Amino acid sequence: MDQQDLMLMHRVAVGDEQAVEQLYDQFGGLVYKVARQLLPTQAEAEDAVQDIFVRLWQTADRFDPRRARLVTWVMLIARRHLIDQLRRKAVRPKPSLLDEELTAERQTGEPGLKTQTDERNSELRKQLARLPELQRVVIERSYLQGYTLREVSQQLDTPLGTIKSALSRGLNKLRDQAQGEPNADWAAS
Amino acid sequence: MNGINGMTSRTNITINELVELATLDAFGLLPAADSVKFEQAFMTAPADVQAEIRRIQSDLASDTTTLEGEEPSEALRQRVLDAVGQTIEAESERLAPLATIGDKEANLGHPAMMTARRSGGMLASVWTWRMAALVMFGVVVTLAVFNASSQREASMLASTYTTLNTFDELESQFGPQFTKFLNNPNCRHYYLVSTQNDGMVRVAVNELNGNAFVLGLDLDPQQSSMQLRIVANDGSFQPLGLLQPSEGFIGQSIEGIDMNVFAAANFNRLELIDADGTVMFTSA
Repeated sequence: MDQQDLMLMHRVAVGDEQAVEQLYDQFGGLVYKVARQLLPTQAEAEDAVQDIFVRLWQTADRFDPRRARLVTWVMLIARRHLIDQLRRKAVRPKPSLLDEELTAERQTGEPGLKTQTDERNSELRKQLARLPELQRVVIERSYLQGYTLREVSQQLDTPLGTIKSALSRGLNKLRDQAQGEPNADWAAS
Repeated sequence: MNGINGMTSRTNITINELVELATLDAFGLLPAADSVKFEQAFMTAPADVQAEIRRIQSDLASDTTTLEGEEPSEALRQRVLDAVGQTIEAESERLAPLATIGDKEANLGHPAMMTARRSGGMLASVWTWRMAALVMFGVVVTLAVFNASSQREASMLASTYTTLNTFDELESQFGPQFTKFLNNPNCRHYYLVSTQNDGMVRVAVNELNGNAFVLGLDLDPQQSSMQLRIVANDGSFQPLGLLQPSEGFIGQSIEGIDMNVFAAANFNRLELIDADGTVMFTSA
C-alpha cells in the first residue's frame, strides 16, 4: 500500500489527471467533512477543499511513506490549511469573552461551546462534554477556534507543556470515547 | 501503546513525548519548533517505534467518529479537479520560458523535451520542470548536509531544516521566502549556535544581490530584538540588520547587504547580539 501511495503521489506531482481524480475520490469526502466541522458555512468549506487539493498537488513530491501514511499526509495538509483559515478570519472570540464563558461553565457545570461548535457538530459536542475541563477547553480553543497553543497557555495561565499534554490526551480520548474503546495507557491522565 | 516503551534511540525524548507530539502533528497543531523536534526524534527512533507512530497518526487522521454531515457534491468534485488542472496549466506556462535557456538543439534532443514536444500538452512539460526542480532541490539538500558536516555543532539545524516534512511546516510558518532562499543556489548559508543553549539560527545570504533571510527556531520566547552583525578578524564589526523574534521564532528578510564585507579576507564570523551587547548566537 505504501508503494502504491508513493506511486500515486508521484503521478499527482507530475500532473497526471487520473491520479488527481484518484486522490480526490480517496480523500475528498474526508477532507470535506473536516472542513465542514471547522468552517461555519458550506461555501467556505467548499472553497477550502479546492485550495487544499491544489496545495496537495503543489506538495505531492514531498510525500514520504517512510515518514507517514498517505491519509496522515493528506489530512495534515488539510488541517493546517483549515486552522490557518480560522486564524486569518480574525473572528475569534475576545479573550475576555472566553473568560466569561469559562466562568459560566464552571458555575453551571454545563459546557458552553457557544463560541464555535453549533448544530453541525452535535456528536463532537457530546464527546467533548465528556472530557475533563482542561482537555475540552484546550481542544475548543486551539482546534476549533484556531488559537495557537501559546495563546491558549496565556489565556488559561497554564504552562505550555501542560496545554500540549492536555490537547494530546483530549484528542486521543475523543477518538477512544467515540469508538467505545478504553484509553491507551499513554493517553491516560 | 503496545510493544514500545522507554526512550527513543539517540534522542532524549521519551516515547510518551513522541506520541504526544505525533498526536498534535496529525491534527496540524504542532508548533514549528516542536515540529523540528518531532522530526528529529522520529527519524532517529527504532523502526518498530516509527511503524507504531505511523499507525497512530494514520488512525487519528482517518478517524471519522466525530465527523458528521453529507458527502461532498459531484459539482464540488468537478470544481476541485478543474482548479487543480488550471493551476497545473498556469504553472506550466509560468515555467515555459525556461525552456529557451541553453542550447536549443540539445534541449530538443533531450528525451523529456522530446516527450513534451510530441504531446504538446501541459502535463508533459510540467513533468519536465518538476523533475528539474526535484533535481535542483536534491543538490541543495546535498550542499546543506555537506555544510553541516563542516560545522558539527549546527548539524541538527541543517538536517532538520531540510527534512521534507518539516519543510512544509516551516514554509507555512515563514512564507514562500523561506523556500526561495533555501533553494537558491546563489545563497551562502551560515549556521549560528546559541551561546545560551537556546535555539538555532540560520542565515541565507544571496551573494548576487546582497539580500538575506534569517531563520531562527526554538529561541527563548522572551527574547527581545537582536542585531545581526559581521565580525572581522581584528574584532571590528559591522551591523547588518535588526531582528525581531516573535514567540521564539525569527523569519525575517534583510535587504541590501554589502557582499564585499563577506568576501573580505578578514571576515571572521556572524553574531547576533542583544540590546545589552551580549553575544547570543555566533557562527564561530
